[in-house]
Amino acid sequence: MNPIDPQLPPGDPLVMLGLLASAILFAVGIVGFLSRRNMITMFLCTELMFQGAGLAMISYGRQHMDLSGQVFVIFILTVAAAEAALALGLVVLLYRRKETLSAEAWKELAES
Amino acid sequence: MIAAPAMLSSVLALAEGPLDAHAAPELRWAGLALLLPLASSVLCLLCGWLKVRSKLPAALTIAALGGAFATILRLQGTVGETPVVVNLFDWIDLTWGDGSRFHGFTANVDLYIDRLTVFWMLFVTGLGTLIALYASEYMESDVGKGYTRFFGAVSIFLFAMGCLVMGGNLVMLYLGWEGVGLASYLLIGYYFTKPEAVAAAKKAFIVNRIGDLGLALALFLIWQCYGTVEYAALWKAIEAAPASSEWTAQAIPWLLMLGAFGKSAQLPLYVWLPDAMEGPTPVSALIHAATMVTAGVYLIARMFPLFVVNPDALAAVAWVGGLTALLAATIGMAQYDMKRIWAYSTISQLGYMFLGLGVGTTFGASYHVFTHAFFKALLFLTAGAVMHGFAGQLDIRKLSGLLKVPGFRLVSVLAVLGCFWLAAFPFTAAFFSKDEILVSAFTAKDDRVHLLGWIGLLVAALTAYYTFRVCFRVFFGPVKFEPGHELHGHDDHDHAHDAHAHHGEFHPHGPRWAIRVPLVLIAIGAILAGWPSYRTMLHHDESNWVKTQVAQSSAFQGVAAESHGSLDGHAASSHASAHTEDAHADHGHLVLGMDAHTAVGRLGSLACIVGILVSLYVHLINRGTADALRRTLMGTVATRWIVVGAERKWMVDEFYDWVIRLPLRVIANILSAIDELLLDAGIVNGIGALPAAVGRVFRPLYGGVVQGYAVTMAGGVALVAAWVIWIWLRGAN
Amino acid sequence: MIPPLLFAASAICAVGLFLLLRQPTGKARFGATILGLAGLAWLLVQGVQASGALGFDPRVAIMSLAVAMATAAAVRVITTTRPVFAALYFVLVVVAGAVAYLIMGAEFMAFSLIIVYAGAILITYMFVLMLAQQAADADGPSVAYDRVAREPAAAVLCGFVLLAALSIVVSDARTNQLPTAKLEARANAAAWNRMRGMPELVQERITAELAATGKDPIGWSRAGELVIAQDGRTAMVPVTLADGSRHEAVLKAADLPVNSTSLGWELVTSYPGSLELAGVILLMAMLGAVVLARRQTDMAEDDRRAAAGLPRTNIEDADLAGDRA
Repeated sequence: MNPIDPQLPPGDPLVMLGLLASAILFAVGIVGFLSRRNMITMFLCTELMFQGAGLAMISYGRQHMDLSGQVFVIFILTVAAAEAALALGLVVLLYRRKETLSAEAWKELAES
Repeated sequence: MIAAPAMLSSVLALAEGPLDAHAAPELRWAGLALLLPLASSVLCLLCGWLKVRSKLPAALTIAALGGAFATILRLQGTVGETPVVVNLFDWIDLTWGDGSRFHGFTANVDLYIDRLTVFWMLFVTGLGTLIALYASEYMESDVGKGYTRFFGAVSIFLFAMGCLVMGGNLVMLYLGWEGVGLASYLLIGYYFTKPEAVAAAKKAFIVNRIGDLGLALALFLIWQCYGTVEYAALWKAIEAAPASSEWTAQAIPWLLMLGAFGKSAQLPLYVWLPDAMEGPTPVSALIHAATMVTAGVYLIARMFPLFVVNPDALAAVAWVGGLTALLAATIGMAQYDMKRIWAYSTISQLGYMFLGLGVGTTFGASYHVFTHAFFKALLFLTAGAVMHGFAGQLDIRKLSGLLKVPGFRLVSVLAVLGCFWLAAFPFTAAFFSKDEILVSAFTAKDDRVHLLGWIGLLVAALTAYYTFRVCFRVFFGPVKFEPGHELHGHDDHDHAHDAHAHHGEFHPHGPRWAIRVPLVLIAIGAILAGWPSYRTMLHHDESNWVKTQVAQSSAFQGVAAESHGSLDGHAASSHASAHTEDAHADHGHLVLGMDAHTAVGRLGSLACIVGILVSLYVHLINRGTADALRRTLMGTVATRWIVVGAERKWMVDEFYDWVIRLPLRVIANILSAIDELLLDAGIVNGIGALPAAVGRVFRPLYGGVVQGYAVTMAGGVALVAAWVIWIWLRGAN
Repeated sequence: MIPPLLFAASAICAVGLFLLLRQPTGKARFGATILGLAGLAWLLVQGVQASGALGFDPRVAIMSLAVAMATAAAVRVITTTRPVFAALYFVLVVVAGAVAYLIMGAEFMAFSLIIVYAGAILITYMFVLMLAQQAADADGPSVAYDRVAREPAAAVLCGFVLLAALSIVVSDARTNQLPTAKLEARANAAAWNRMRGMPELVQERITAELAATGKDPIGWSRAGELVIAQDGRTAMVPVTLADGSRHEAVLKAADLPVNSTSLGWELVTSYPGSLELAGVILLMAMLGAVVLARRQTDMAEDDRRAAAGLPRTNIEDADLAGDRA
């Protein structure tokens, strides 16, 4: 348990909410990635996780009154954009091969 | 010269002791006795390689053995009263530290030549030559098949026996010891397509291993106690410190004894010898009757200085010998296979020899070895000739009256002669040697062995009975025979109870010259073996040749000189002086109110004649009596065990099966099960199966679908996170 | 924030999400939604309580709304069976996220998010959906293979163990927080330092200050460096006015550069290498996407050589063609 020291200055509720939201978005993203079969939806879920990460960055930046958090969101956006480009390229490629977007159509790593 | 007794206090002072060997480089030619058989075995190997299909290997072997015999004969004329050491070449010569005693190990290829060596080698090489000649005809049906192998193994045997007897140190003795074991194995298993022969060969080898273990341990302990394994140095070391109470020193004679009992087929290790009769008959004659089995006697005689300091060990030797003689004689009475009867008689006679050793008469033992070698070889070879002529028939119930069968008269006469010798008929050579042993048993200083004299007399009667049982059954009476089942095949079978319907009329073929000549020569040898005693008897000359031979060797170390001995009775060193004094007290031993010598002579003659007479009645005059007696004994429960036990060899093999083989088999099976179930299946395969099982558990996750891998990753991250939280929460409180 | 309660709230959320993932209909769906929202509300309430804030703050209300919207939209992203809807709900997540950004004072990032995500990335997704999805599937009933969630229990377990872990970390945020005054002082110092690198901005601010204080805003010149006050809330710049008199121009917090200016400054001064790398990553992603999505043409070996300007080998490569087939 982490009892809150009353001596501490009151925290910023916005930060708390932002951090909670980031955690929830990340968790939901993982759940979605694991439970959906459509490759596009799965990639949307990774974007959800990116959203969670970005929100956490912003929240911590606010908490520490530092701009680095926001700077890193820029980089996250960069990576997200690159990932989206590549992932969608892959999706198009895979779709051409099997005419389906189901991730379960690709089982080449299975032993049989 | 034999030195007068002196209170010798140190090894160095023993400058002129009877065992003080000196180097004799001029006698290097004596090495031919080893070299010739070795060369012959190599040449036989070569013959085998070149697929020689003639009697060449036999000729080579006979020539080599004859050469060896000639060498020994020449040596007999050369060797003096003191032992000589002939260095052939250096083999093991190590020193460390300051190189003093216990700081070196020397075992060169030396010959230790004294009278005992020459005496032993004389009959070994002599009989070897004659038996090889015999075998050249006997084995002729195998020419081009196993002939080369046979003579190669015989050569190896002679070489190894030479090493054993002539070697200058215990390492060479051990080498020869194992070599004769090897040759014995090879020759017993000569008919390796026969399961019985293979089993017998393995049995002989394995039982001998037990004895050899004892010998090897004794060898180690000898070095540990005395710091040397060379005879010459060893005798000096024993002189210097004879009676150590260390358990190591005390154990040496017992371990040596074990080795000797294994090789010489004594209780409890005798069981291999009867089975060894699976080998060709010349082998039985040479190795398993005349020479190899006497190696144990030689060992104890040679190492006698180690035994005299341990009266308990000597008493044990005597008792084992006496009991073996009795046991083997009782078994021999109830067998029907001629070779097997002779095998049990061999065990029994070897028992006599050990009895002699145990009661202190190395002379008597050696003398008996000598006489026994001839008459037992004669008996085996005549049995072989019969077997050869009657297609493997050896069952004494199926052969009769051979004296009247044309072609077998000479063989039969010689066999009957051999029977008289084996039965120790009065004034045969065996009579004198056995007499010597029994007298010593009655007059021994050790009270514990006197009973063995009576046992020996009983065995003498039994021996006479079973010897003449064979003799009367086979060679006398009406002519009647059935051929064995090996009409055209081998001639070594001993269980030829079932005579196959033979094709047409069976004509036994008599032996030719190569069998007859050795037989005659050996018979002459058997007669002449008694010559030293005849000479003593006729001329009242107390110097017995054999006794002289044995006396001037380590075998007489510490032996009480008997009052009637030819020696001046002072061969022993100062440590044996107590024995010497006791020797004079032997005059006081009276057996049945008579002087021991006279009494034993009369009782032995009586026992022999009674045995022969019983046999004469039961097996010749009224042959139905034996069967009637057997039926009577079998009819009563109280006596039934006598017949069954004797016929089934007192169940010793079965007893060993139950007591030794069965537990070993059970243990082996348990260990095998442990190996299979625990080690193989449990640990080895289990460890192998573990990853596979884990893999099977998680396999559904990895159907190749990307989420399967993602679940693992996310789950792993979640678990790590949960763990971190756990630590965190615990730390917070 | 008390961990067991936090875990309980997470568990309720998890159960709600699990139920929703099983594609319920009617009342069950409503119940599951309510359950999930209740869990979410409890979680948010705990978060607000934990921050120790007192009284009503409209910003907190808006933030809560945005968070709830983002969460609900995210749940819809993963529960809807139609990819197009999922993409649209994701836009909603992005918008709600942008609202949160805005409230937390990251204006530039809020708008970049809208532009980059909703404007670029999501449109790309829509394009790919249109490209890849069969026409009937595009907005019609969901695709057959994704009608039912795949192992929702395992997924939810993984996800919410993580959520619990993360929320614990969140709960610690306040404990490790520096005193606000100190933080502010440090942040202001950083901001004034940044401003030192922007002389034109300083000049502009001084002019405004001079005008506001009734001094002559023309013809002055700076007479020294910017000096930060002790509490960091103000800074002073000595100036020589046109009339030659000296003046201490006082700059207040409001005169500090706006978020986008600061962010740009920070980006190019503190993270120039990372900025370059980001550019390289984008370039590579572009090239990769081009290579991946390029239509693979089946050409015979000789045709390829010809296309590459090499001489033909005149080898009949029926085998190669067979391999490709």
